[in-house]
Amino acid sequence: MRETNFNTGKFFALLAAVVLAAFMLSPFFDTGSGLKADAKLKNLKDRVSLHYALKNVGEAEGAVEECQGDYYACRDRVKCAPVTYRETKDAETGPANLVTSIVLDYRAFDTLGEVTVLFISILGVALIMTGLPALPVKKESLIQLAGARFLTPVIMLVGIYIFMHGHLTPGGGFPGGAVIATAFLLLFMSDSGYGYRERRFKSAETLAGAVIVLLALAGLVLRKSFFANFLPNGVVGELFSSLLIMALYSLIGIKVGSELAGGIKNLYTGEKDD
Amino acid sequence: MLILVMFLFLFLLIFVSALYAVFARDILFCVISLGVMSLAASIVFFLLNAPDVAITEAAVGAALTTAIYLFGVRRTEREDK
Repeated sequence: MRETNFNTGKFFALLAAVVLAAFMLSPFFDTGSGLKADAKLKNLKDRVSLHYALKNVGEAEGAVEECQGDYYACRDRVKCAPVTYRETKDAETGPANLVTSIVLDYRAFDTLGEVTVLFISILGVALIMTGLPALPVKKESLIQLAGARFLTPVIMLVGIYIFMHGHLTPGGGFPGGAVIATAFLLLFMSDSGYGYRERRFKSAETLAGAVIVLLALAGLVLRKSFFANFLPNGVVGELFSSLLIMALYSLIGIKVGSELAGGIKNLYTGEKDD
Repeated sequence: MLILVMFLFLFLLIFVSALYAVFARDILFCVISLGVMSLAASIVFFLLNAPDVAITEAAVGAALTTAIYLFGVRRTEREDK
């Protein structure tokens, strides 16, 4: 089997590459006849979402509706409604941090993919580390123990702050979760008496992931789009302003934190072979 | 002027610590110098007005990646022969 040049694995890899290339190149040969939206959009250039480029957070929504599809003509007519910090109410996306409004509102599906990638990589770590001999943990000194017990809650609080304020200040679920995992790393490495319960970490992670998907499905039911923003947005700049993004970032922070902490514990001592 | 000096110092720190990570004999020192490199890179990101990236780089690059490499060193030989 090994001597032949042509084997099944290579054949399927080539087939998958050809199918992917055809899929990626297909928009260039598409005439746009099947499009329901607009018969005028024959060219690829016209199909780039100008509708969204012209859209504004505030009152400009109605102006876009007035154009009736001719977005080039009315580009100058659309007046951008200014967004004032702590005054603008019920904007299209609530967060004061623009990056968050892209990452968790317009492109929330990408974020779900990122969470899935992290989950799969931690799953791989758990699979590989199963059955390795567990390394002994040295007894720690008093100063090390006291320092770790003093620092751990502070680091955890910083992580919780980072993901709770993800819609107001830079940060968000992934950095916040990583900071929380750092706190657990300190605890694992310096406190040999810390009772690590794997079930709690696993159940927090599973529950958070399930609730993220349930919130996305609730958007699908209520607003007819996956990850639609169906909760009230409130005043831009306040803590309880864009509730859906805040909830999603908190859940992502809990999920990433517990996932990374479990993966680090696996790498540190090796997983028990149940 | 001050910020230029700061940038130069950080770039030099990144360069030197990366080179040290490649050429040091003790793998533990390599891992620590990689952590120093990540920390300097996160400060550079912060100075270049990218605080999102800076937070992630400091948490993941300087803390978690260093710890994972350390756990790897713990299970293998420390000296490069």
